[in-house]
This record gives sequence, structure tokens and C-alpha cells, in this order.
Amino acid sequence: MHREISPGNPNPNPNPNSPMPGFCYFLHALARIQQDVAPQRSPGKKGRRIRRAAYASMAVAAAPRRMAWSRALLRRLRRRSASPRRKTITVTRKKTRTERQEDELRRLVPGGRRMDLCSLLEETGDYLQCLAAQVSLMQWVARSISE
Amino acid sequence: MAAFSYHPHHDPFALDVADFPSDSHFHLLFPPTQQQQHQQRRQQAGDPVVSSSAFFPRFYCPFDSLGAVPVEMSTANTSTAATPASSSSLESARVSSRSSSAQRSESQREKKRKDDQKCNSSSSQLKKRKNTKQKKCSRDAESTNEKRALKEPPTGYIHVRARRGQATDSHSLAERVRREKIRERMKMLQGLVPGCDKVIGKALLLDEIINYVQSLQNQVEFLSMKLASLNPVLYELGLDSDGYMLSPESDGLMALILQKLEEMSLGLPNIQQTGPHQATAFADTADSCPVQDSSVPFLLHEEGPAPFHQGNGGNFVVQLDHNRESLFNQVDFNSVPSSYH
Repeated sequence: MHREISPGNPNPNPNPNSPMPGFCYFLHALARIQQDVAPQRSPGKKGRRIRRAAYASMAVAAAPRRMAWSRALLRRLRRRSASPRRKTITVTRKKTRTERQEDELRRLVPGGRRMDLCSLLEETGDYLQCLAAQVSLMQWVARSISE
Repeated sequence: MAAFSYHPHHDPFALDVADFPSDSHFHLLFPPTQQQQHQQRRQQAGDPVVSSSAFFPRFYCPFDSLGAVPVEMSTANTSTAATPASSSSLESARVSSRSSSAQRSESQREKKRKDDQKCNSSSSQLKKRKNTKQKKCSRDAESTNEKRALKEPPTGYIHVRARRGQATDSHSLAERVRREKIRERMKMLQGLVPGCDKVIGKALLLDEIINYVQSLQNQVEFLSMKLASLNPVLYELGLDSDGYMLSPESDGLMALILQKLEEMSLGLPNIQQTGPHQATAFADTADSCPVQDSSVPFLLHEEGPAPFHQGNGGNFVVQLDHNRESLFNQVDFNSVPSSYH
């Protein structure tokens, strides 16, 4: 719980006055990506990089709150390739509808697979808020660029 | 009434439960002493919701007129589980914490003795009991005052009171606490997901939540693709060939972005309360956002005057880049992959 979020970076929040540093990171990452990739003009790769940057900036923004989803997201993004999924021993029993929905939610929320339902719901709330903020930021950037 | 400890790392939430409105049957207390336990048992016999000591006299009035009633109702509600002597008393509703099990057994024995006395004796005892009740009432008032005074510090205990007919073993009580927590979080999520207010039922609510998360994730994907296709425009607009300097005519765009950021960093704490409706709010304000250079120093106010002479936007980018090189590395994973291992 008290592990540092980003071990490579000793000070994840250099400006304590800005509560959401992650969204600044996103714009800078955007500038950097366009500088790196623009000559090649490969929109697919660029899109993937922008998506990674978006999720990473979200996770960094939530890092001061020490939410589990942000740690899981950063961990996932740090892995270069998709690691083999941990196999779970499944008991062959027909699941109820609610249980299936819980599994679905666990799949969607980063780091949710090893949570109990209570903390899963809490993390989902926080994740939803951050995701909505990120989407609105990206929408705004897209609109202001295309104008 | 029951006390038991559950996961100690959920302590902050335990306080939330304590603040829950009065219809819930939780309250948070210190690990009670034996006497306190006793008092509270008495207290809750009167009224589950209102901790009124004034309730007791009214409650005990009927017994005087009825004469000898072998087991009074209050003890029927709250006596210890399965005392053989008071066979007519309903068993209930009190499991004490595992840590204070010694206390519990002691108080049980005491209680048992009392119940024995009660069953054997006749109505003459009722008066005596009434007197003790009144004493207890005054002590109740004291104890509630104490409770109010000492409420702040967090404890690992949640007191749950089982209603009549509910199971009283600790597993059932823990399960009840868990369900209560889940219900509360569902309510919280219901406030977060738009258009979810009228949805009733856990399954439908979960459906809505899942759909919303999926749609937001799809939107992130879509928008990143869109930004990837749009970025050359920004590239031509904003950045010089070395990538760090902004041309003077792009000051407006940068200023717009910065102002937006400032608004968001001010507005984001509100998201905690208002939820994603905030998103539409600042999507709307984006169009009306005025372009001004005064918003540029928003991120710079610690650094002092800039040594460059390129214009506001250029200085801003260069400085920030020095300042947050490491943060770049963190965000842009593809460019510097080796720093994460």
C-alpha cells in the first residue's frame, strides 16, 4: 500500500499546487509523440502510443490517491508485451448473472482481478471519474486542433 | 448487539458507516467495557433507532398493569443467546467481539443469574427492576454523552445489531456488514454513472456501470486514433523543426491549452462530487474560452522570469521540458522503454 508509485521517478508531483499533474503530462507526451512519429506518418502506431500516454497520464494523475487501479495500469503499461495471463483454477459451476457481471467489471477495471467486490466497486468509481476527465480532455484537444 | 472486528485497513470506511443515516443498524464504538455493553444492551432494548432514555418509562408501563409477566419483552429482545433458564425468552442478537470473549462469557453468566431470578420471582420484583431500570436510564444518558464525546478516534470495531430472527454468528454478521458496504458503494456508483438514477436492482446497475466503463474506454481509443490523425496539423501549427520551440503564432493555442488545464485543475476536485457531468460542463466552456497570454504563467509561477526571448509559449515549453524530463519518460513509454526495468 505504501509503495512508491513510480520507482523510476523520485518526485511524481513536482508542483503540489496543481492537483492533476497527469493531464499536463498528457499534453507533453502528445507533443513528444508527434515530434517523434510525425515523419513516419503511421497513424496506427501513433494512435496506440497516444492511447498509452492517455492511460499513463491518467494513472499518474491518480497516483497521489494511491488507488490500486493506477498502480495496476502503470504496471501493465510498463510491461513491453502482453504477459501471459495468470491462469485461475476454475471450478465448474454455473455462475449467476451477477457473478458474470462482476467478472466483466473485473476485466474492465485495471487490477480488478484480485480484488474483493467492495474494493472493486470503490476502484471502479475512482477509475470512472478519471476516465471521464481524460475523455473530456482528449475531446477538447481534438476539437481545438481540428478547428 | 454484536461487536466484531473486521479488516483493520478499512478503518476510514468504518467511519463512513458510522455516519450512515439512522435507518442502518450500525454504529461505531470503542471496544466496550463490560459495563458499557450491559448498558447498551439495555438501551437498545428500548428503541433501535432513537437512543432515548425517555423511552423506557413508557415502555415498561404495561407491565405494572399486567402484573406478573414471566419474561419481560426487553430482555426477550436482547438477552444472551439460549439461556436455558429463561426458556421463553427469544434468543437473539448479541454476539460480542472475539477479542473480548472472556468478558462476554462473564457477562453471560451474570445475565443468566439475573434471568434465573427473574423467572423465579413474581411481580414484586418488577418494582425493584423498574428502579434499577431508572438507574440504568440515567446511566444511559451518561454513556450516550460519553459516546458523543469520544466518537472521533477510529477503531477496528463495528457494532452490528441483529434484528429478531436474524442469525447472530459472526460469519452472518460479517456478511451483513459486507452487504451493507456493497450497497453503499453501489449507491455511490449510481451517482457517478449518468442516466442511472432510475435503475433499480443490482444486476441492471452493474450492467449500466459496465457499459459506461466500456464506452469510456472505447472513447479513449477512438480519440487517440483521432488525435493521431490530427496531430500533423498541430505539428505544422505549433512546433518548429526541433520540436521544442513554438512559433509565435501558436501562442494562442498554447495559451488556450494552458487555460484549459488551469480550469481543469481547479475544476477537477469538483468531479469528486458532481461526477462526469463535469465533463460536459467543461466541454461546453471550451468554445467560449478566451485567448489570453496572462494564463501562460500558470505552470511557471515558481520559476521566476524566463531567460529566453522567444515569446511566452516558447519559454514555457523549454522550461517545462527541463523541469519534467523524467515525467516525459514516465508518460511516453515507447520512446524510452529501458528506464522501466
